[in-house]
Amino acid sequence: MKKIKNLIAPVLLVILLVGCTSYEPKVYGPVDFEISLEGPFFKDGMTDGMTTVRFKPEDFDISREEIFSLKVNEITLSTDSKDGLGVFENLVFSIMTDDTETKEVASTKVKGKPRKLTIKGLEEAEIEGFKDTKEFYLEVTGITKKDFEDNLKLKGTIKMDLMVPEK
Amino acid sequence: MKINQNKLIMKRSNKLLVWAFGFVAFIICSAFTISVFKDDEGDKLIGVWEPSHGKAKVKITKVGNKYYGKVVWLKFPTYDNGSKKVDKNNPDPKMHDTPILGYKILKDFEFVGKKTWENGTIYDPENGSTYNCVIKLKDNNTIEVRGYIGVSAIGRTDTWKRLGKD
Repeated sequence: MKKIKNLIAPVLLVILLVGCTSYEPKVYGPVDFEISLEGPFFKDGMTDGMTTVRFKPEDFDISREEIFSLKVNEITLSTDSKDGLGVFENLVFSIMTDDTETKEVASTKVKGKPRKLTIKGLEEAEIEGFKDTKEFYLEVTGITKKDFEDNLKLKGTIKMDLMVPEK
Repeated sequence: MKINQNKLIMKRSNKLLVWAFGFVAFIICSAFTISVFKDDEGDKLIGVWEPSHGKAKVKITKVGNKYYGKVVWLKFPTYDNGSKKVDKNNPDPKMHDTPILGYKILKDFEFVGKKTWENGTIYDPENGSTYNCVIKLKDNNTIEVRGYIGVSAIGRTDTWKRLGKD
Protein backbone atom coordinates (compact mmCIF):
# COMPACT_ATOMS: atom_id res chain seq x y z
CA MET A 1 0.00 0.00 0.00
CA LYS A 2 2.81 2.36 0.95
CA LYS A 3 4.52 1.57 -2.35
CA ILE A 4 1.40 2.51 -4.30
CA LYS A 5 1.16 5.74 -2.32
CA ASN A 6 4.80 6.51 -3.08
CA LEU A 7 4.16 5.97 -6.77
CA ILE A 8 0.95 7.94 -6.98
CA ALA A 9 2.08 10.93 -4.90
CA PRO A 10 4.60 12.35 -7.41
CA VAL A 11 2.14 11.88 -10.28
CA LEU A 12 -0.54 13.75 -8.35
CA LEU A 13 1.96 16.48 -7.52
CA VAL A 14 2.83 16.95 -11.19
CA ILE A 15 -0.87 17.04 -12.16
CA LEU A 16 -1.50 19.58 -9.40
CA LEU A 17 1.42 21.75 -10.49
CA VAL A 18 0.40 21.71 -14.15
CA GLY A 19 -3.22 22.31 -13.22
CA CYS A 20 -2.33 25.28 -11.05
CA THR A 21 -0.07 26.99 -13.59
CA SER A 22 -1.78 30.07 -14.88
CA TYR A 23 -1.16 31.31 -18.39
CA GLU A 24 -1.20 34.70 -20.03
CA PRO A 25 -1.94 35.51 -23.66
CA LYS A 26 0.75 36.92 -25.96
CA VAL A 27 0.44 38.04 -29.55
CA TYR A 28 2.78 36.80 -32.26
CA GLY A 29 2.83 38.98 -35.34
CA PRO A 30 1.64 40.46 -37.57
CA VAL A 31 4.00 38.65 -39.94
CA ASP A 32 3.88 39.58 -43.63
CA PHE A 33 3.42 37.08 -46.45
CA GLU A 34 2.77 37.07 -50.18
CA ILE A 35 0.97 34.43 -52.22
CA SER A 36 0.80 34.26 -56.00
CA LEU A 37 -2.10 32.47 -57.64
CA GLU A 38 -1.55 31.40 -61.20
CA GLY A 39 -4.46 32.11 -63.55
CA PRO A 40 -6.56 31.62 -65.48
CA PHE A 41 -9.33 30.82 -62.98
CA PHE A 42 -12.73 29.63 -64.08
CA LYS A 43 -16.18 30.27 -62.67
CA ASP A 44 -17.13 27.77 -59.95
CA GLY A 45 -13.61 26.37 -60.03
CA MET A 46 -11.02 26.02 -57.33
CA THR A 47 -7.62 27.64 -57.09
CA ASP A 48 -4.93 27.50 -54.46
CA GLY A 49 -1.58 28.98 -53.60
CA MET A 50 0.96 28.62 -50.89
CA THR A 51 3.79 30.43 -49.16
CA THR A 52 6.27 29.79 -46.39
CA VAL A 53 5.94 31.92 -43.26
CA ARG A 54 8.70 32.11 -40.67
CA PHE A 55 7.85 31.35 -37.06
CA LYS A 56 10.27 33.17 -34.77
CA PRO A 57 8.59 33.96 -31.43
CA GLU A 58 11.89 35.41 -30.15
CA ASP A 59 11.25 38.44 -32.42
CA PHE A 60 8.24 39.27 -30.26
CA ASP A 61 9.97 38.64 -26.92
CA ILE A 62 8.35 35.24 -26.52
CA SER A 63 10.43 32.28 -25.44
CA ARG A 64 9.84 29.28 -27.70
CA GLU A 65 10.15 26.86 -24.77
CA GLU A 66 7.37 28.57 -22.82
CA ILE A 67 4.67 28.30 -25.49
CA PHE A 68 1.79 26.28 -24.10
CA SER A 69 -0.73 26.73 -26.90
CA LEU A 70 -1.02 28.57 -30.17
CA LYS A 71 -3.93 29.69 -32.31
CA VAL A 72 -4.39 31.89 -35.37
CA ASN A 73 -5.98 35.16 -34.30
CA GLU A 74 -6.49 36.79 -37.68
CA ILE A 75 -5.29 36.90 -41.25
CA THR A 76 -5.44 40.00 -43.40
CA LEU A 77 -5.40 39.75 -47.16
CA SER A 78 -5.18 42.40 -49.85
CA THR A 79 -4.67 42.72 -53.59
CA ASP A 80 -4.14 45.50 -56.12
CA SER A 81 -6.21 43.62 -58.70
CA LYS A 82 -9.03 45.60 -60.42
CA ASP A 83 -11.80 43.39 -59.00
CA GLY A 84 -10.11 43.16 -55.64
CA LEU A 85 -10.83 39.90 -53.86
CA GLY A 86 -14.28 39.85 -55.48
CA VAL A 87 -13.11 37.16 -57.88
CA PHE A 88 -13.54 34.74 -54.98
CA GLU A 89 -16.71 33.41 -53.48
CA ASN A 90 -14.92 31.88 -50.54
CA LEU A 91 -11.40 31.64 -49.08
CA VAL A 92 -9.99 28.98 -46.74
CA PHE A 93 -6.58 29.14 -45.09
CA SER A 94 -4.70 26.17 -43.73
CA ILE A 95 -1.37 25.69 -42.01
CA MET A 96 0.96 22.79 -42.70
CA THR A 97 4.37 21.73 -41.49
CA ASP A 98 6.38 18.54 -41.85
CA ASP A 99 5.94 17.77 -38.15
CA THR A 100 2.51 18.98 -37.12
CA GLU A 101 -1.06 18.16 -37.92
CA THR A 102 -2.57 20.22 -40.76
CA LYS A 103 -5.31 22.58 -39.66
CA GLU A 104 -7.79 24.84 -41.39
CA VAL A 105 -7.23 28.09 -39.53
CA ALA A 106 -9.54 30.62 -41.19
CA SER A 107 -12.44 30.63 -43.61
CA THR A 108 -14.58 33.41 -45.04
CA LYS A 109 -17.22 34.22 -47.62
CA VAL A 110 -16.23 37.14 -49.82
CA LYS A 111 -18.91 39.76 -50.36
CA GLY A 112 -18.58 42.47 -53.01
CA LYS A 113 -15.18 43.42 -54.39
CA PRO A 114 -13.08 44.23 -51.32
CA ARG A 115 -9.42 45.14 -51.81
CA LYS A 116 -8.66 44.10 -48.26
CA LEU A 117 -10.14 41.52 -45.90
CA THR A 118 -9.58 40.68 -42.26
CA ILE A 119 -10.45 37.10 -41.45
CA LYS A 120 -10.77 35.86 -37.88
CA GLY A 121 -9.15 32.55 -36.92
CA LEU A 122 -11.39 29.52 -36.46
CA GLU A 123 -12.36 28.54 -32.92
CA GLU A 124 -11.06 25.00 -33.15
CA ALA A 125 -7.87 25.93 -34.94
CA GLU A 126 -5.44 25.38 -32.11
CA ILE A 127 -2.15 24.34 -33.64
CA GLU A 128 -0.50 21.58 -31.67
CA GLY A 129 3.19 20.71 -31.62
CA PHE A 130 4.18 24.06 -33.12
CA LYS A 131 6.87 24.86 -30.56
CA ASP A 132 9.85 23.66 -32.59
CA THR A 133 8.62 24.91 -35.93
CA LYS A 134 10.92 27.43 -37.60
CA GLU A 135 8.59 28.03 -40.53
CA PHE A 136 5.29 26.74 -41.83
CA TYR A 137 3.33 26.55 -45.06
CA LEU A 138 0.34 28.84 -45.28
CA GLU A 139 -2.06 27.76 -47.99
CA VAL A 140 -5.06 29.61 -49.35
CA THR A 141 -7.79 27.86 -51.31
CA GLY A 142 -10.33 29.97 -53.16
CA ILE A 143 -13.54 29.13 -54.97
CA THR A 144 -13.84 31.50 -57.89
CA LYS A 145 -17.13 33.11 -58.80
CA LYS A 146 -16.10 34.43 -62.21
CA ASP A 147 -13.59 33.74 -64.95
CA PHE A 148 -10.32 35.52 -64.37
CA GLU A 149 -7.52 35.49 -66.92
CA ASP A 150 -4.54 36.91 -65.05
CA ASN A 151 -2.34 35.81 -62.20
CA LEU A 152 -3.30 37.22 -58.83
CA LYS A 153 -0.84 38.49 -56.28
CA LEU A 154 -2.08 38.49 -52.70
CA LYS A 155 -0.39 40.28 -49.82
CA GLY A 156 -1.26 39.61 -46.24
CA THR A 157 -0.37 39.34 -42.60
CA ILE A 158 -0.93 36.64 -40.02
CA LYS A 159 -1.32 37.19 -36.30
CA MET A 160 -1.35 34.44 -33.69
CA ASP A 161 -2.42 34.13 -30.05
CA LEU A 162 -0.01 32.29 -27.79
CA MET A 163 -0.42 31.19 -24.21
CA VAL A 164 2.67 31.27 -22.01
CA PRO A 165 3.05 30.73 -18.24
CA GLU A 166 2.31 33.86 -16.24
CA LYS A 167 5.35 35.48 -14.63
CA MET B 1 66.20 2.32 -42.72
CA LYS B 2 64.07 4.62 -40.58
CA ILE B 3 63.30 6.81 -43.59
CA ASN B 4 62.07 3.79 -45.52
CA GLN B 5 59.87 2.77 -42.60
CA ASN B 6 58.37 6.26 -42.44
CA LYS B 7 57.73 6.18 -46.18
CA LEU B 8 55.95 2.85 -45.80
CA ILE B 9 53.77 4.18 -42.99
CA MET B 10 52.95 7.27 -45.08
CA LYS B 11 52.05 5.12 -48.08
CA ARG B 12 49.80 2.88 -45.98
CA SER B 13 48.03 5.78 -44.31
CA ASN B 14 47.47 7.41 -47.71
CA LYS B 15 45.97 4.18 -49.00
CA LEU B 16 43.74 3.99 -45.88
CA LEU B 17 42.65 7.58 -46.46
CA VAL B 18 41.70 6.84 -50.06
CA TRP B 19 39.72 3.78 -48.91
CA ALA B 20 37.98 5.76 -46.17
CA PHE B 21 37.14 8.56 -48.60
CA GLY B 22 35.78 6.04 -51.09
CA PHE B 23 33.68 4.36 -48.41
CA VAL B 24 32.19 7.67 -47.21
CA ALA B 25 31.45 8.68 -50.82
CA PHE B 26 29.74 5.31 -51.38
CA ILE B 27 27.58 5.72 -48.25
CA ILE B 28 26.56 9.26 -49.26
CA CYS B 29 25.73 8.20 -52.84
CA SER B 30 23.72 5.19 -51.62
CA ALA B 31 21.75 7.31 -49.14
CA PHE B 32 21.04 9.87 -51.86
CA THR B 33 19.93 7.18 -54.32
CA ILE B 34 17.69 5.53 -51.73
CA SER B 35 16.07 8.86 -50.80
CA VAL B 36 15.48 9.80 -54.47
CA PHE B 37 14.04 6.33 -55.11
CA LYS B 38 11.82 6.62 -52.02
CA ASP B 39 10.58 10.05 -53.20
CA ASP B 40 9.77 8.64 -56.63
CA GLU B 41 7.88 5.73 -55.09
CA GLY B 42 6.00 8.01 -52.71
CA ASP B 43 5.05 10.42 -55.47
CA LYS B 44 3.06 7.71 -57.23
CA LEU B 45 0.18 8.88 -55.05
CA ILE B 46 0.17 12.30 -56.73
CA GLY B 47 -2.67 12.70 -59.22
CA VAL B 48 -6.45 12.93 -59.48
CA TRP B 49 -8.42 10.00 -58.04
CA GLU B 50 -12.06 8.95 -58.03
CA PRO B 51 -13.61 7.10 -55.06
CA SER B 52 -15.83 4.08 -55.82
CA HIS B 53 -19.08 6.07 -55.34
CA GLY B 54 -18.05 8.30 -58.27
CA LYS B 55 -19.56 11.39 -56.64
CA ALA B 56 -16.26 13.27 -56.30
CA LYS B 57 -12.73 13.61 -57.64
CA VAL B 58 -9.83 14.17 -55.31
CA LYS B 59 -6.51 15.72 -56.32
CA ILE B 60 -3.56 14.50 -54.27
CA THR B 61 -0.47 16.74 -54.06
CA LYS B 62 2.68 16.85 -51.98
CA VAL B 63 3.70 19.65 -49.64
CA GLY B 64 7.05 19.26 -47.89
CA ASN B 65 7.27 15.54 -47.24
CA LYS B 66 3.54 14.94 -46.79
CA TYR B 67 0.64 14.24 -49.12
CA TYR B 68 -2.76 15.97 -49.19
CA GLY B 69 -5.97 15.47 -51.13
CA LYS B 70 -8.52 18.11 -52.11
CA VAL B 71 -11.99 17.75 -53.63
CA VAL B 72 -11.69 19.21 -57.14
CA TRP B 73 -14.96 18.01 -58.65
CA LEU B 74 -18.41 17.03 -57.40
CA LYS B 75 -21.05 15.14 -59.36
CA PHE B 76 -23.76 17.02 -57.45
CA PRO B 77 -22.17 20.33 -56.51
CA THR B 78 -25.44 21.91 -55.31
CA TYR B 79 -28.35 21.10 -52.99
CA ASP B 80 -31.91 20.76 -54.33
CA ASN B 81 -32.46 24.48 -53.74
CA GLY B 82 -29.52 25.34 -56.02
CA SER B 83 -27.13 26.50 -53.30
CA LYS B 84 -23.59 25.13 -53.30
CA LYS B 85 -22.74 22.19 -51.07
CA VAL B 86 -20.98 23.34 -47.93
CA ASP B 87 -19.33 21.71 -44.96
CA LYS B 88 -22.44 21.98 -42.77
CA ASN B 89 -21.52 18.96 -40.63
CA ASN B 90 -18.12 20.27 -39.52
CA PRO B 91 -17.68 20.29 -35.72
CA ASP B 92 -16.58 23.93 -36.00
CA PRO B 93 -19.68 26.05 -36.78
CA LYS B 94 -17.45 28.67 -38.46
CA MET B 95 -16.70 26.14 -41.21
CA HIS B 96 -20.38 25.56 -42.04
CA ASP B 97 -20.28 28.01 -44.95
CA THR B 98 -17.08 26.56 -46.42
CA PRO B 99 -17.68 24.90 -49.80
CA ILE B 100 -17.00 21.16 -50.13
CA LEU B 101 -15.35 21.91 -53.44
CA GLY B 102 -11.72 22.69 -52.64
CA TYR B 103 -11.95 20.99 -49.25
CA LYS B 104 -8.83 19.18 -48.06
CA ILE B 105 -10.24 15.78 -47.09
CA LEU B 106 -6.93 13.86 -47.04
CA LYS B 107 -4.25 15.25 -44.75
CA ASP B 108 -0.72 14.57 -43.54
CA PHE B 109 0.04 11.27 -45.29
CA GLU B 110 3.64 10.08 -45.14
CA PHE B 111 5.14 7.49 -47.43
CA VAL B 112 6.43 4.61 -45.33
CA GLY B 113 7.57 2.28 -48.09
CA LYS B 114 5.95 -0.92 -49.37
CA LYS B 115 3.54 1.17 -51.51
CA THR B 116 1.90 2.47 -48.31
CA TRP B 117 1.12 5.94 -46.96
CA GLU B 118 0.30 6.26 -43.27
CA ASN B 119 -0.22 8.70 -40.39
CA GLY B 120 -2.84 10.63 -42.33
CA THR B 121 -6.53 11.35 -41.86
CA ILE B 122 -9.60 11.32 -44.06
CA TYR B 123 -12.54 13.65 -43.52
CA ASP B 124 -16.07 12.59 -44.39
CA PRO B 125 -18.13 15.72 -45.15
CA GLU B 126 -21.33 13.63 -45.05
CA ASN B 127 -21.07 13.29 -41.26
CA GLY B 128 -18.30 15.74 -40.29
CA SER B 129 -16.10 12.95 -38.92
CA THR B 130 -12.36 12.56 -39.32
CA TYR B 131 -10.84 9.08 -39.40
CA ASN B 132 -7.32 7.75 -39.28
CA CYS B 133 -6.39 6.50 -42.70
CA VAL B 134 -3.96 4.26 -44.56
CA ILE B 135 -3.52 4.30 -48.32
CA LYS B 136 -2.08 1.39 -50.28
CA LEU B 137 -1.15 1.41 -53.95
CA LYS B 138 -2.51 -1.75 -55.56
CA ASP B 139 -1.27 -0.86 -59.03
CA ASN B 140 -0.28 2.45 -60.63
CA ASN B 141 -3.94 3.36 -61.22
CA THR B 142 -5.62 1.89 -58.14
CA ILE B 143 -5.37 2.73 -54.45
CA GLU B 144 -7.09 1.28 -51.43
CA VAL B 145 -8.10 3.93 -48.92
CA ARG B 146 -8.83 2.52 -45.47
CA GLY B 147 -10.46 4.76 -42.87
CA TYR B 148 -10.58 3.57 -39.29
CA ILE B 149 -11.06 4.62 -35.69
CA GLY B 150 -8.49 3.40 -33.21
CA VAL B 151 -7.12 0.21 -34.69
CA SER B 152 -6.78 -0.37 -38.42
CA ALA B 153 -8.60 -3.72 -38.15
CA ILE B 154 -11.90 -1.94 -37.47
CA GLY B 155 -12.61 0.22 -40.47
CA ARG B 156 -13.77 0.45 -44.07
CA THR B 157 -11.76 0.20 -47.26
CA ASP B 158 -12.67 1.96 -50.48
CA THR B 159 -11.03 1.50 -53.87
CA TRP B 160 -10.13 4.66 -55.76
CA LYS B 161 -9.20 4.81 -59.45
CA ARG B 162 -6.73 7.22 -61.02
CA LEU B 163 -8.10 9.61 -63.63
CA GLY B 164 -5.91 10.19 -66.65
CA LYS B 165 -4.28 6.77 -66.33
CA ASP B 166 -0.55 6.06 -66.72
